Amino acid sequence: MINRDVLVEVRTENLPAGYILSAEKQLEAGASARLAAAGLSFEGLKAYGTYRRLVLYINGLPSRTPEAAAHAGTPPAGRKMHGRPALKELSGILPALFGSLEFPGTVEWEEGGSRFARPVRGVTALYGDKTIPFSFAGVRSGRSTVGLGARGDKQLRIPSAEKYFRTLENANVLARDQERAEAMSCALAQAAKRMKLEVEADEDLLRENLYLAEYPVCVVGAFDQEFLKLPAELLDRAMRERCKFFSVRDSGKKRQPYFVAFRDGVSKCQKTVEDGFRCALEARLRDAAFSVRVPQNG
Amino acid sequence: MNFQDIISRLNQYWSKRDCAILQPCGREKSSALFAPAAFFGALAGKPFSAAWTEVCRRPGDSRYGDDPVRLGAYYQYQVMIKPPDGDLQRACLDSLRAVGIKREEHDIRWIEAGREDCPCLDISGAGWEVRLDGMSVARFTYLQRLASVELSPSTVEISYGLERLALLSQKKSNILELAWNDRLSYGGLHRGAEKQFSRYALEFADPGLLRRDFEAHFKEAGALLGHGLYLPAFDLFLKCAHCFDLLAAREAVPGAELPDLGKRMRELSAACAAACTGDKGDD
Repeated sequence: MINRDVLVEVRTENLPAGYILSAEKQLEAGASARLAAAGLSFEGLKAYGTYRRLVLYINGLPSRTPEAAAHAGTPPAGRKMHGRPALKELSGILPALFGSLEFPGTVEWEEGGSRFARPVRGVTALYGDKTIPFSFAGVRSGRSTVGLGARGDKQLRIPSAEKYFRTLENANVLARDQERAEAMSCALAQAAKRMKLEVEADEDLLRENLYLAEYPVCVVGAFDQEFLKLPAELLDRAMRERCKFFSVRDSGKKRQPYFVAFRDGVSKCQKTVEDGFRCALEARLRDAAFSVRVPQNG
Repeated sequence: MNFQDIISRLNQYWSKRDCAILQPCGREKSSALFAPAAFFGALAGKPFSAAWTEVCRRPGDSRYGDDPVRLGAYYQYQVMIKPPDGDLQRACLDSLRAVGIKREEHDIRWIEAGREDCPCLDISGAGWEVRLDGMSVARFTYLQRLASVELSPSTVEISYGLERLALLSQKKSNILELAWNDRLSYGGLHRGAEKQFSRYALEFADPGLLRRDFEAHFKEAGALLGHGLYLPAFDLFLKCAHCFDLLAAREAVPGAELPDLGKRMRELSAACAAACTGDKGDD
């Protein structure tokens, strides 16, 4: 019996960045428990997430449950038991698993009355090269998925579970959280080196950005240095909370009129995006400046 | 694409998706959701699909026409669809192309933004701020509660900031420089009003008078609700809301008073909504 991998990807409208880590943990714990209860062994499992994919990847799952676990009672005399097919078990386990996820908020969007963090728009489920058939939230599972939004949501056919990550990577989607995190840290370090300045690699901000892009591309820009006169907390709020940008300081920790940000996608029209980011940031900074003006009461 | 053409294109686009194209309402409002068509459309217990342009006034955003991207009065393009039908997030993305914005040339993000930020209205919804190259150009919401009424199914609300869309479509950086059509500029049409209304909202609006108006409208709205006249009552609610927005912009109300006014308005809007959902009449 050859063990194969299992891939399940549930695609949704954009998930809030703060929902994803918890969903991954729930998927991992829930999958382990449900597979064990069904008598299915596996070599390992891990959940991944982007703003529009929740992914469960199981390594090395046998194609049938072991004979011993196949039935509670004694086998009828003279008949050999082979265990139940894993594919069939997974068809039951997976929709129940994803349906059990809890989120801080949910929406109801389809006639069946399903609720999920955000509307479900696609389900990919493969055991090795076979589709695992089931329906989740009114969507039938299949073997196709979509590439990066910025490149037009190209339809992708996944030949087998084992080729999932590679296929997505070729379509500019880094589905593994860790891979994106490394790409981002690396880009921040490079930006700092190029500018000969320090980029404030705030952990929370990094985590948020991690779930706002499937293919993070670094954008570095400047803003009018007049805004450096703003109170530090207002500047921070505009940069970090509103825009999700990283701030830049010199070696003496003095704030510099630059920002480092991530866009979601390839570096096409980079200048347009950079100008847009600057314009958006300066708009927030002008609002901040307006909020501390002296009101005219008369 | 000229400003007026963006509106025509959006009308065409959403009309092809079975939206009735409505006309703006004649009352001051800070957001298109306060237009009676939007408010009562979302509340009524029947399917509703509509799209239209509303003028919104946000006295607190008045900047004398000096800020390139913020105005005290601006145009919102509103889309309301109930029940949510098909992939509306995709439809929203496709609508950007209809107004001359190519997706692959921009960074498009959907930043979580619930609908919980309204002082005058008990409202809740899950959704996003749609950001193009960092600039917020639209909000997309699955409205789940409106004026204390639970909406099931949810109503999808898409509100575009038309000026922001036009900036991207025309590749400009100042709203007043936008082309309205081939001859007129946005500033040519609106600069004077923007300057004068900014002075009114930030310097001259009389807080005492606004408070008295607020109380008068509030009282009359309550009386009308007593007769089941929730549409005129809501009209008066809108007048109260505008007084409230002006008072907030003037920063002329003692600290605790503004939240108190807000609370009373939430109750008034909830009473209008309750009267509407309880109305099984011939409308």
